[in-house]
Amino acid sequence: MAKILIVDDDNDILTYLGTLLGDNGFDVIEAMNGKEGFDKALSEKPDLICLDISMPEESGVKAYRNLTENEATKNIPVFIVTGVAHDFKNFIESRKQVPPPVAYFDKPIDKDEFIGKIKEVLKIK
Amino acid sequence: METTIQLTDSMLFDEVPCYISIQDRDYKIIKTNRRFRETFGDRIGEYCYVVYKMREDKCPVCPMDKTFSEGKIFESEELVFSPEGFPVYVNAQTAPIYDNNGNIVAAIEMATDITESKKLQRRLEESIEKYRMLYNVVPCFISVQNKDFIVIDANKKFKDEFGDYRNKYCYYLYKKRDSRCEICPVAETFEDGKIHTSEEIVAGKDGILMNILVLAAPIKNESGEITAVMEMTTDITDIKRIQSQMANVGQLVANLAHTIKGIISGLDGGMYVVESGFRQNKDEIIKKGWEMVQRNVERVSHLVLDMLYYAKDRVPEKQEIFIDKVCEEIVELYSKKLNDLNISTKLDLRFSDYFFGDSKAIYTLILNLIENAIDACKWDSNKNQHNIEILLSYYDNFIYLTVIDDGHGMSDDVKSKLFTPLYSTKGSSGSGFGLMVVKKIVDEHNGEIKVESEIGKGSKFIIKLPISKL
Repeated sequence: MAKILIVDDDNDILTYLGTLLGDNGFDVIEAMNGKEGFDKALSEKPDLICLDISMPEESGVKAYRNLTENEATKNIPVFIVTGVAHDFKNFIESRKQVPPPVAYFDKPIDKDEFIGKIKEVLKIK
Repeated sequence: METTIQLTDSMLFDEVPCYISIQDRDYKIIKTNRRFRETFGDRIGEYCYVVYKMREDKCPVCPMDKTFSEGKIFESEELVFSPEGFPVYVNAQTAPIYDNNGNIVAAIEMATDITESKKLQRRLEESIEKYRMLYNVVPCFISVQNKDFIVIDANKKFKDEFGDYRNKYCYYLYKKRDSRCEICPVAETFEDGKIHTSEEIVAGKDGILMNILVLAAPIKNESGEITAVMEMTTDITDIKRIQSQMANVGQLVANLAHTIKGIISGLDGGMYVVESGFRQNKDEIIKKGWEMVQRNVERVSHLVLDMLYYAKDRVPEKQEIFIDKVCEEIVELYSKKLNDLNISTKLDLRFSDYFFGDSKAIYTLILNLIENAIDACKWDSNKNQHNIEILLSYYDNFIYLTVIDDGHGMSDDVKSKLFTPLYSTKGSSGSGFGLMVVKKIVDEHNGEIKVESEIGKGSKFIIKLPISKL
């Protein structure tokens, strides 16, 4: 069963995405800030990461950079799921040395599209 | 064949292109030339002042007088009238005529018509006057500067605002600097002769800073060399303020949209979790989802109240309130949340008298401060146990309400942005309205707010409110 890490500072979003992914047959791990997210990515080796950008303690931008720079995590596909997806997209695209994430999802997400994209990336029928 | 023109004295006298009259010592005209006769008619025997000025008595100032008494040539400008009443400006020269004994018996007056040049002169004076007026009343500061940036002329508005400009440097007058500004539109205009503009911040006479728009234009001499530069500056402080307000409004709307998106996500999620609970027939999941819906409905109503509070210009509806009771009530309201987050509270309320203020506003104020303190503790992962203190005291006609938390604290940078529109450090959960509303309420009650904070140690918000009487 594929394992997905959700990193978001909002408890409600963790519950929502956790339930949604669980209902679709995924194992879910949660983290509430960028640091915890990166640590769990290293220890749990998830198949995919859903990362929020604007979080108070450690932002998703730093976590994203850490994930892409670390040998152990750089190949894990990352979905950016945030309210500022558009701004983050522009930001990442302006930095050529940082590889872009696999997908961007603006909150509120389109559930079907979200699950469809995860299945496509993880090659699950 | 050669033509010889015989010139006689009489011909010369007649043909001179000016008005010539010879007057005796009684100012009576005794001889005139043709030009005179053509304009004024045959006026032999009449008084000069009657002929020239239609006066009944002698002019008080008369060049003839001087010629008669001093025997010299005198010159003056006079306004005379033709018999039809048309004004004619003349330049009059008077010279004495002597008899064989050397006595002055008469004087010759030669008047040249200068009406046209007089008209031109007047028009020139008028346009200079108009230009001066424009220079002074135009709502701009105008200065003329030489190559060393010394102000050599300035309009009234400039003098009124920046004081006596004479022999002072532009950079001193505008900015109280000792050396020239690195980027200077006047220097650029001196260099290439073109018009240059810039925006600057300068200090007016009371030291009040103003934003100005500068336009520098060359002043050239006849050979086309730039001898000076005219600098025109317009006060755009108000425009700048409106511009920044507009930018803030833009930022406000963007942040608001972001906050609302977060709430919609929460509602969307809550509904999904409820549905999922029904599908699985699991009450605990339904309950979890329903709580999410409730929480986000609360968030949206709180946001709307804050927005309305912030957007409206309202006069506080003052009534008696007991702040100590409000503090206790809010802490009670949050007791479950405080307990869940392992935050203890300490209330030290030493003012139990009533305070005269807007009860809804004061409630919102305390609520926002306590919510902030809770969030600061919630986001601090360095400690498992936190504490919030609420102090209320009274001193010298002021109430002091202090909310202290030992949460994550703030950097100086964060602290400096605290009261700017919709600034938030709370990620998805912050609307950025809370402290703006707090500041507004404090201002409406003529109070003050002070913030102390240190990263890793916590924050302290002190509200000082004057005890207002009926």
